[in-house]
Amino acid sequence: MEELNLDQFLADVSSENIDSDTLALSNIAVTW
Amino acid sequence: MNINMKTLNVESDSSISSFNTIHTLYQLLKDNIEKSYFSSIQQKFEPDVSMLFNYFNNEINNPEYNSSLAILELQAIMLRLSRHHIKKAKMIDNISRFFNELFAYCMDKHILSEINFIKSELIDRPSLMIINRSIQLLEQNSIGIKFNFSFSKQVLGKNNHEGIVKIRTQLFEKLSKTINFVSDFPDNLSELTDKDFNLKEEQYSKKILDAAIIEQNFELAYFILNRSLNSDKNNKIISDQLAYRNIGVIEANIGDFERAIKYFDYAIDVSENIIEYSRNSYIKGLCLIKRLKKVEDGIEILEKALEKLCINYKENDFKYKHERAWLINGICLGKTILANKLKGKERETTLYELIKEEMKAYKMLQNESSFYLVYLKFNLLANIAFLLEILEEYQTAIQFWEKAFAPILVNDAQNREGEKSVTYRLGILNIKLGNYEQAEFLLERSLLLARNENNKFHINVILYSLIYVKLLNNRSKNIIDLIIEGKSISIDLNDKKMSENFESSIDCYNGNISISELMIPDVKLISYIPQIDLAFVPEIDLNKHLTTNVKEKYHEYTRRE
Repeated sequence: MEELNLDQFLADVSSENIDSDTLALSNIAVTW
Repeated sequence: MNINMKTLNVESDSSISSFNTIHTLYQLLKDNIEKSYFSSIQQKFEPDVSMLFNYFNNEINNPEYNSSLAILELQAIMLRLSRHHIKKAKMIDNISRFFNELFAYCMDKHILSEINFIKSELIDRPSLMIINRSIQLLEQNSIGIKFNFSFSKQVLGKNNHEGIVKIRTQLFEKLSKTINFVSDFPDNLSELTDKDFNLKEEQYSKKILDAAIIEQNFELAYFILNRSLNSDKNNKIISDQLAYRNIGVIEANIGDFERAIKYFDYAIDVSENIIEYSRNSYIKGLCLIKRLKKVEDGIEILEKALEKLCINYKENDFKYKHERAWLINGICLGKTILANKLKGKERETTLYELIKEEMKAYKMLQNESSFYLVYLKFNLLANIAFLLEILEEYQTAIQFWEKAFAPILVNDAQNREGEKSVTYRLGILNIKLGNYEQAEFLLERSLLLARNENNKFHINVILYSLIYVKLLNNRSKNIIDLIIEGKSISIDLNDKKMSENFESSIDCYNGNISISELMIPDVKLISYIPQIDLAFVPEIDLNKHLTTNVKEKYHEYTRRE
């Protein structure tokens, strides 16, 4: 699990700026 | 005047516009019902009724078809073989209820007792979704209105039929399970042909095509696509590769996957650049994996496309990154299905490698803010969380959802729909982890959000999961109220399966059956409604398949038909 370095990955994801309009549009919890 | 107190004649014409027949019915009812009463009923079902006829009257300029949401919906259909969005299902359900209220009024006032649909072979598919739903909902009450369907052409094609006859055959065969066609498709009629429909000049446009695909008006889309394919270069509205791809998607949506593959192959053959080639290969691979269960073949197509793309790669062009990430994502889906055949450490190691691949795909798109990438970026994040769930790393999966989707879990009114879905998934993960208190808390929150948007389809799913966790947690407070509510909504929605689930939960509550005999709650909130969707419904829910009894069910996914 440590090998995945998920914490760093999630920190990078969090630093992305996604505007709220875009978030409201996305069918967000869609998997495959 | 088509009305004579008892019978309303609704004749369909050859125009195949979305909601054409239902608009005719609307006008006839409006002409015959007292104005203020009609308005008061319509008011109860707004804004859906106005929106529906805005679609009908204003197809080309309708912002609903050109909005960012529409683009995302088209992406979902064209990239993931997705179907109707739940919002459209909700709208169809609501409009059906509007008509049923009008029917009830007409019956009560002895205005009519029968509706005759004349030239039923020409009824557009979106109208049939409403008529079909309306009939389903009328089953539960005592409104004795009679629907008659007469045909002047044969809609059930014989062997090896293709084109419009085939699309109509799929539709009417499916409908005949719910609608009792009085004429019983008489044999003596001549077969429907392309000539029975008339594609108007103003319908021949890319916007109308997109709208038709969003509304599942496959017949209209078919005529537009064929006209484009048969036109000379200057008169095409889309490239041939895209036209073939669209026809492939329609074939897949009506359940003919072999023909879908044939059209995806045409699309691949006439692709003019590596981006088109990658996109068309992607959908072919996905169709093989998701629909034909030929997982290895699908992976092979995707890997070949990825290899070609990488040889021709342009690092600074986001289109290349986008296609590369899609292909990796598709390969990961196939390999995830295969990984479930493995056991122990090998399975675990393979699934962890797939998480790394998905992370790699996401990183390619990181800091790319193009709107067109949004769908895939969130899909990749959700898939990583899902892989953790498949690995039964529930705690890590929870943390991943919470952090990756943090912006939609904040109390922001704009993101309530996303919050509802993610909160539901978190609730289910907490059940799996044994955190029943937390699961209850999250499902209560998800339920509140579903109630706020009056989404009965989701309310029902969440209610069942909430009851399930309360039973696990031996919490009896409110449980009977929740079961009664769930049962009542199931009846209202004509959802027999959910109705049975709530019945079983009463048995469980009364100690007559054990919890293990109850249906396990859905992993996610439903995104389409099988009773409303007239397209082909896949027999296996991939989300459920990958997370429940994975190893035992592996053979279902890899068997060759």
